[in-house]
Amino acid sequence: MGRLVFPLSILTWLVVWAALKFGVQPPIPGSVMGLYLSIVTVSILVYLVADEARFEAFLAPLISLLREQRLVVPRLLVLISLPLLLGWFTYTRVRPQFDPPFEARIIHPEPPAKFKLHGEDFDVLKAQRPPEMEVNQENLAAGRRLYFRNCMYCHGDYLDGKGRFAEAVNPLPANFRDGGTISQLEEGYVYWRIATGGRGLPDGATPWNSSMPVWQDFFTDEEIWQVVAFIYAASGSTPRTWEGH
Amino acid sequence: MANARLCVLLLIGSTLLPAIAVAQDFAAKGFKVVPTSPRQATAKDLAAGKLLYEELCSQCHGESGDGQGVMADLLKPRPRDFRRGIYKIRRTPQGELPTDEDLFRIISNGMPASSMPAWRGLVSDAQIWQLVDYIESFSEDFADYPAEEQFLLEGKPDPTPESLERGEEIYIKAECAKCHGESGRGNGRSAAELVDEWDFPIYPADLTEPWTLRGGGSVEDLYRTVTTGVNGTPMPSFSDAWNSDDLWNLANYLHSLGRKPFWGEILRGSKIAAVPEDAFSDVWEAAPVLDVRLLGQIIQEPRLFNPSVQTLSAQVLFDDNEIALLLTWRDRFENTGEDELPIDRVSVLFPAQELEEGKKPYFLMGDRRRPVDAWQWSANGRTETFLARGMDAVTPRTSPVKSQGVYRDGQYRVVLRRSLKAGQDNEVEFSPGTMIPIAWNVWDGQEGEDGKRRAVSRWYYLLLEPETPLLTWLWPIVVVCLTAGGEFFGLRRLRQHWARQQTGALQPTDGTESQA
Repeated sequence: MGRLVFPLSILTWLVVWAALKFGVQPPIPGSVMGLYLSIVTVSILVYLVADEARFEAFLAPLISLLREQRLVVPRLLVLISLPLLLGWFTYTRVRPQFDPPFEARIIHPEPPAKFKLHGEDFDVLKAQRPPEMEVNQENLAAGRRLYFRNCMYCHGDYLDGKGRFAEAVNPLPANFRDGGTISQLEEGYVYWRIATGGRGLPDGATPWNSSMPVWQDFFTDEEIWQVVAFIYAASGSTPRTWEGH
Repeated sequence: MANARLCVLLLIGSTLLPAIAVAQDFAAKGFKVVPTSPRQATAKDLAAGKLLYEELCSQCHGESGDGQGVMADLLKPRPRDFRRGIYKIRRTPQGELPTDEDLFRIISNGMPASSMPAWRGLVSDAQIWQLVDYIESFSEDFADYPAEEQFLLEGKPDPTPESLERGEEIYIKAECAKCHGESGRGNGRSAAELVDEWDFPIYPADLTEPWTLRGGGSVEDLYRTVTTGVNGTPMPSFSDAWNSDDLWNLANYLHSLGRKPFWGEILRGSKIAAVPEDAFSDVWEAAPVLDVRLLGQIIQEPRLFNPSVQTLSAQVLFDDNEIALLLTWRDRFENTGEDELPIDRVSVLFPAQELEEGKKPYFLMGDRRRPVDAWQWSANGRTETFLARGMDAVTPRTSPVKSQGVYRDGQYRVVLRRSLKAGQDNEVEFSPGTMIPIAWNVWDGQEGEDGKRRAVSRWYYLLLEPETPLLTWLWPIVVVCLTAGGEFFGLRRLRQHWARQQTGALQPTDGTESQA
């Protein structure tokens, strides 16, 4: 049993490490990982030290590695590779790293109270779908046609934001089937985002990166309502409303 | 009556005989061929398939399966017309219909570099089978003349030098280069004249960018394509002239023509003694590549939905005074403006002013508040620079950029050089260690791309890597020395300790230890 103390201790440590590293989704942040692993290391050491015989059994393979004549080759390997490994580790820590600057981006920025829609003021918060633009077969069919001829290249056939150009743009096209996009938003907000596109975003939402066109340059007011109706219906989402509040 | 029976028998015989003869041929040439087992579609599956098809497929392929959906005219390649029963990607012999599994695979995996998405994961496998059933119902041929046999993609040999050599030999003998070009960039002599079954121009595949191959870029995929051909296109099947081993070697060779893309965020360049002026200089081989995906400029009219160039490779090097960018991209035809067609062009964009609080210019040629410094090279050899405040506000200015551009075998290689320091106002300045936003635009004149109709990229970053500070090397060396020293002295102490233990064990009465 004594001979197994050393390998078992190492194995335990490795098993815990592997479980934390590969078994937990989403991945644990590096600092937390370090904390957990120190706790594991200390626990294993405390367990080993608690019993003198066990501690000696743990040290025995290490001592024999350092002491026994027949282990001269592995001993030299360990003694040479340890400083090199630590040196390499230090190098990876101190070498200059260049990561792209972090661009904080507000995904659903606060809309302006009003914006110019084809020259007229449009009140984003009070915007209501006009009665003649109700969600019916005709408007949905028109919205579908507009969507596929204009939006599908980025937002995709399945409205999941995986169109043909999706990989070429950043930020990625919105996935309308994701609960965090249009279902979180009112129709008036989505109307604003479509009408003014990437250029209409406030600075906090990195308008210079967005490839969303300014759709009021292409669509009439009515057509934007039709597209809004279609993306909600086709993605199985419902707009957020303030009714009943 | 007897005559009529004889006629029928003869008729059956004449249709069956060639099929049998062909089947024997395949086996004799080492192809592994197995019979197909067509599905029997139920009315329920067809009804479910119809609903799915109308929701998910009809926008391109049309309600009636004619390939004339509402957006068909914007797509290239055009959506398949299912009524004709002509399918490109199949494991069945040339001219035959695909198997149900062929259709299942295409719907599941989609077709790269086209608008056909991969549906697996979005809809269930059972639903994909329902779609297969419904799509087959557009052509009566699936009931009348189903494919009887299909190739197995088994027996792939290792890509040994011998296999690749044999493959190259076949590439030459089978005249692949006539369409696909010497280097496989799809720029062969006949490339400009090819049309498909529908009389639409069609270009030979570019084998150097295997991630854009519609049928997939694996060795198995390439073997399947050379074995079965691409129905409806000029790409023939080679299974009549070559045996299976030959085509596997050819597939290995075709695969070896493909390069590996380096997608990323940062274009990194290191310092050298003197930047190269030559686009084919050897020093470029050591410079890391950034591959950039391009999208069509679909943001402002006139829009470009199908950019001809979809990938651009960029490299950068610098010396004490100058920066040199090498841009490489595939273009099947050189357009220098000598004919009616627009000139091939490329441009590189940088913010013209230092970024304030990280605010970049608009990625499409800047905006009123934040202009871009645009360097443009045209295939007629001209180099220009512009200060642009949006695509409609582009002002030419004296160009401090020097260039060398070469068109060779279906590929442009263009070197752009400029001093690191800015020479005038609103010009980008390069200093090592700074992340500078960089973007690209590309025009393919052959496709009529001109003005706003261009391929564009989003912002990436350019980084000229500064020389590694001495401290970076010092710390690891200190750590190595300290650890090695610790080991040395620690081990010496241990040895002394063990030696004393041994002598202590031999002479238990010795009192030296207690005295110490």
